[in-house]
Amino acid sequence: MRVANNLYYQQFVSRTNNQEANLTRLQDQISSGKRIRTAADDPAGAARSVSIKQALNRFTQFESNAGFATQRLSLEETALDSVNDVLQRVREITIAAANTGSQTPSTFAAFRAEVAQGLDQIIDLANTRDANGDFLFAGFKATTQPFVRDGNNQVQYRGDQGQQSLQISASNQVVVGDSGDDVFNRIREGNGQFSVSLAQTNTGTGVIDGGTVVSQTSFVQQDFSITFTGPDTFDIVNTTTSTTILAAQSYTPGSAIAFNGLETSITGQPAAGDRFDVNASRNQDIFAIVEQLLTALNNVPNNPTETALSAQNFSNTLNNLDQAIDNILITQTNIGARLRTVDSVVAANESVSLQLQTTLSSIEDLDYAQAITEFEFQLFTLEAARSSFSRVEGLSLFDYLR
Amino acid sequence: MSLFNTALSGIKAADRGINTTGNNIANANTPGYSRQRVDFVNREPQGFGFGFVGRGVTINGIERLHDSFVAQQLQEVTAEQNRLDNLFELSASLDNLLADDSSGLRTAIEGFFQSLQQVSNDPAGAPGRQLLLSDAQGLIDRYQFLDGQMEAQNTSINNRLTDLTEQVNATAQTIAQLNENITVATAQANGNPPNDLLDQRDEQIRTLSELTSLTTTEQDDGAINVFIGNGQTLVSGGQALRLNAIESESNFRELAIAYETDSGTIDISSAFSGGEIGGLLDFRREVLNPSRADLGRNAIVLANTFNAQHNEGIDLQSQLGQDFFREPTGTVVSFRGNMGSGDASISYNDVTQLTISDYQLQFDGTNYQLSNSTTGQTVSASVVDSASGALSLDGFTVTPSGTAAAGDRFLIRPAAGAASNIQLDIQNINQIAAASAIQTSVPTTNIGDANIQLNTITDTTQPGFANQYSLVFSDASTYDVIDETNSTTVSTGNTYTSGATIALPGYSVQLTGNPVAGDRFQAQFNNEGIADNRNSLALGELQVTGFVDGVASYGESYGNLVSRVGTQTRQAEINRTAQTRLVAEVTERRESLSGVNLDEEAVNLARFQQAYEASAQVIAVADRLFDTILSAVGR
Repeated sequence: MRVANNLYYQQFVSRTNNQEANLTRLQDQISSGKRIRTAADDPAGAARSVSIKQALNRFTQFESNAGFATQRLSLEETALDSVNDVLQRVREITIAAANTGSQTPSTFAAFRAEVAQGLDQIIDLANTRDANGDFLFAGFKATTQPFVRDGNNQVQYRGDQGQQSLQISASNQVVVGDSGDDVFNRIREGNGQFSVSLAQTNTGTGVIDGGTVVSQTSFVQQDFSITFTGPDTFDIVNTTTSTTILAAQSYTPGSAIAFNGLETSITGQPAAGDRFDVNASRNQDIFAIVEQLLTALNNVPNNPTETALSAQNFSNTLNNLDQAIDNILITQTNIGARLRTVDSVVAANESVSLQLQTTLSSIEDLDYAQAITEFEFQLFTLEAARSSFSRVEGLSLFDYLR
Repeated sequence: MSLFNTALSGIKAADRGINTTGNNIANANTPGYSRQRVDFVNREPQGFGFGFVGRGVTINGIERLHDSFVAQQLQEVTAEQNRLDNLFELSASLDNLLADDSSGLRTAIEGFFQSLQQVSNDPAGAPGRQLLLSDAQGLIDRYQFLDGQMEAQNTSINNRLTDLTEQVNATAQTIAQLNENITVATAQANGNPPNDLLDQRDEQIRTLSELTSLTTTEQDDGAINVFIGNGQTLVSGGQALRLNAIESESNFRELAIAYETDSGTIDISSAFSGGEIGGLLDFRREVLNPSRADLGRNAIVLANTFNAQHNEGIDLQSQLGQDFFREPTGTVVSFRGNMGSGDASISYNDVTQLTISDYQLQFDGTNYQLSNSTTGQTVSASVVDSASGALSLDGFTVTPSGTAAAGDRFLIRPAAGAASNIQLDIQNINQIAAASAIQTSVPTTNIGDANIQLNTITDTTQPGFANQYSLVFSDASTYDVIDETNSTTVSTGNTYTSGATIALPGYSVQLTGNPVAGDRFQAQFNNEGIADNRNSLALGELQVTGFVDGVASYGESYGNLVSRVGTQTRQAEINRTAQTRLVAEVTERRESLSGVNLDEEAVNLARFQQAYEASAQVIAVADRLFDTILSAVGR
């Protein structure tokens, strides 16, 4: 084939151009460590890497959300631990005070002082703030102080029942708070299903036991009263429906009184006309329970009727405190479960995120061994092309025709 | 003395040979030059009784070593290579713009939703809200920047089209001039070809093919006619017609290539192919315009869907969330020839159906017709809302206004350009609606264990939406609905099923569990619920919801755009590489035939030099013979 001189030069130029472009590309890849420099290098890979990067970014955010959730939940747990401590101490005082025989006005005064301080502590704890200054137990009204004591020594709730959630993975939201209403105000009276009380007008010395529900199926959430028609007989009336369900029952101190699927007993000697109420449990707040204890600690009983009332009060308070402590414990258990969820989701996130990173690296990252080998080869061919050109280019017949 | 003449013809021939070789050497580097060769023929011999005696050599002509088939191939591959060159260069620059993390949309979308998470983590806190607001502005800036860059590419295409059509005109003029010269020269040289003029013209035609695809036909008189597009004559003999870059009929922002004839200008853009101009037009039609529409659609979908969710929440001042973004719209352009004063506006009814196609709105004097230019789908007359004259197709609505004349047309681009007019509609951080508009609660006086929760918000504008409602149970399975705000009973004796949803004005709630007679459940406007992050969590969910085309999230849709431009770029690059190879091959073939090889010329030079010297020697011999005769006779 004829080779025109022009073509020879042109081809050399275009080939070295190509080789130099390849070298530049390889050098760029080697210095950046990335195989894909623009989407055009590998459109499918680039699209995958975009969506993986987006997912990774979300995982980073989830990780920080999870940290935030852990922080919030731990703070709540700490506050509830303290509330629990205070309630336990109040419970101990209640037991001591119930032992009326050894109590004097001065010991009652000391108890009162300590319980009153405990109440202040609980209110303070219920108004705990987080690092941002937001109230922990105010629901969504985070800047409103949730628990405020009014003029009647009653504690009012100003928050709402909102519960914040945080997104800790694509499919998981974790609740990071409990409203004050749920923690402090939703304490079931008595044993949790019904509560007992004696009428303030009672003249006998009867005291009614907290009792238990023995048959959940027959138990209905209605109110009843046990009224003594004589020292040994009583009627049981459903006060919700105003119907007498049991009439002229005979009374033996301490023996079981069963109706409405529940069982209780009365001890002591009631007088005719005395009344004992057995009501379906309502919710009350922790502060009211402690406040009732304070009232009960006002006076040391000094006659049998007062002693019976006092014993009833302390017994009821103990039951109520147990409910309050239970409620705090249940809340703490929930917090524990949420913290465990956070931990396991974080672990799952980390393993997925690691996988994504591995995939991303396999898409984007350069195979250095291959790239450097290719680079060396390109360099070699470029040098070879240059040296062969310089030798061939020097050949001309004109040199020999002189 | 025939020997003298014979020798003289040899000297002359060698002289021509040396001249031609010299010319070849001189033009070794001239673009488009075809090497020439002297065509020697021995002269007619002198007849004698014993036979014929030769009378020397004569020159039949100077031949140009040229293959018109190869020349035509070269034109074709050059046109295609230049088209691909331009297509690749422009696509690559768009690709770099879109794919780069610092200029692309991906990081901006992610940043925006990341700060939204900050708001979810601390809905009442100012820092997270401030961050969200500035990241929202950052996102908007990015949309506008990208659209601005695409508009800049459009403008630069317009400028280049103007320049390149001028180049086409100049080259066509030169070809026409050469045609004329060639015709004259051929006639003067008794039909012998003016080789150097032919080379020049071939080179000019090749140069023209860098700008556009073309076809040629050779005339008997030596002229070549050049055709472009669908066969429009650009050069006919000594005449060249003119091309013009004019505003496109359908869109004044885009220049079209028009062909000037006596009867007016004809837009031949759609028939135009190949060359740099073809590359520009292809890029604009296949890469730039769809990308711009895609970006605009992304902005529209984001603004609309984000606003819809934001409207369901309440802000820090317990007001219903207003629009977060000013919702952007696409473009409506009146056709150049419109006689009426009509216009049209675009609104959106379902952004998840939006496409990136162009649409045309046409008025026939009584009815408007809207058609999708890609699918050909047309809105039938029955869909036309007679009251407003609005037409709906593919998730958007066009509302004509003003007075259009029969035959008036409008180009409707429901998405293109929208990325430029997206804006932030909220000004201060308190207006971010992180909270849900409705809050439910269970009074602690309830005896039963049933719970209430918000199900969905459907319409915040429903009358009574913001009122407080109580569901009051008269027994375990019957409840009344009471409007506490107006102290009115909404409904009584409703039957309760655990888990069923209960509709209230503008939203619904869900009750689960076992209520007891007298239990109440409340639902009300979420006043002061500043630590509520339910709406911001819902807003965060939008990031991974498939809105665009009903399947892709904002980020995925953008990823698809990047990937599509990347694929187009890659395709152009691969084709260009192949085409470059093809150009090299054809050039090689041309050069192998027509190119100058200096070694070969050196040999020819030596050969003709020797022939010259030898012929001169023949003259010397003839002279001596003559002298011999003279001296013999003269004595």
